[in-house]
Amino acid sequence: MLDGEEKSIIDRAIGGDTLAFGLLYDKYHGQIYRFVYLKVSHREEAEDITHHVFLNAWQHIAGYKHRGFPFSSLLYQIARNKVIDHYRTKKSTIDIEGLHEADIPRHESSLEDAVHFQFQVATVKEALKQLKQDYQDIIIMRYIEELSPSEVARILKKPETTVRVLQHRAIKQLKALLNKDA
Amino acid sequence: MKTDIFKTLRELKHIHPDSDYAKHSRMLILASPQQSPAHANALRVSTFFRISSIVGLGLIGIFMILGGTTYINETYSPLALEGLNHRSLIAEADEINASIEVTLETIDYLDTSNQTTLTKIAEISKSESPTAPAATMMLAAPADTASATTTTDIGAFLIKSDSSEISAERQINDILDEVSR
Repeated sequence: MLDGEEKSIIDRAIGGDTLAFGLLYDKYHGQIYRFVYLKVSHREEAEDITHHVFLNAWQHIAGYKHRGFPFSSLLYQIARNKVIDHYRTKKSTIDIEGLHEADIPRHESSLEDAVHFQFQVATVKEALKQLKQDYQDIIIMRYIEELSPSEVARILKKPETTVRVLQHRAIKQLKALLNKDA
Repeated sequence: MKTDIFKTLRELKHIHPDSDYAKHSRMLILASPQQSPAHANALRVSTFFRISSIVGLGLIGIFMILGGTTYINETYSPLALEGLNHRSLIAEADEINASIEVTLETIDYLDTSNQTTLTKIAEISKSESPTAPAATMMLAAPADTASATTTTDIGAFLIKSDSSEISAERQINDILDEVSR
């Protein structure tokens, strides 16, 4: 979806076109779900939060003003707030759920490789959860979703240079945690 | 593990939501009504007023609390004892100042009147008895020579002046008696 094309879709969605919003949903649902899932580590909660993110975006899209950034910026901002609200209301249980088998497709040659890879992913995911919220956000957006620093800066409402510094610190801390676990 | 971090992170991109959930969620969202721009504006305005009223009430509350605290402090606080009251202390100090000024004025007056009296006595004694100016001698002479002058001269002078005053009073009384008849 090109920038101009996305803008016209957003404009149609603002006008109440459900099909247009459906296209935006299809494009961004996966990445918003991943973002939320990696932060809450619970499948049902991630689904619930992601649903509310898109519902919120749909209900308030009339007030959206396109400033040249992808629509995902708005969705990430809503998702971040929803996750914060989630942790504010539910502090007691943080379920360190193992990755669901269906979450990551197996493409390793042998079963041994697949098990090893699943273990690596689980370890990284657990280490990721020990980081600060900002660090988690930056790592997910920069290294998993591969967003540009300017997009991340826009979502986190921080200067781009700050994002780069935070990114460096986040990776350093993640490496330290993984080395500690290893 | 160190070298695999970025690769592993990239692999996390393969996490996908359940397709049934995704379809169901999509359907529910698109079936829900969209908020109209007018409604969104109204909501924004009402939010603004709500926040403004909360801030306003908060400020009024703070003002009242501060005012109340000040009033209680000034009225009921043990620090508001008369001796510690700033205003009463100033008034008391002013009063003391005024009384000191009055006392100084009195001393000054007494000193001046004393000098005048002594001058008058000296003049009178000169005119009455040129040979024995007791009071003048007392004033002019040093202490040791003054002590040498006779106290009888001063006594006679004082008795004489008293008797002249009494006789003057008598004369006045006589005139008043005659007038009253």
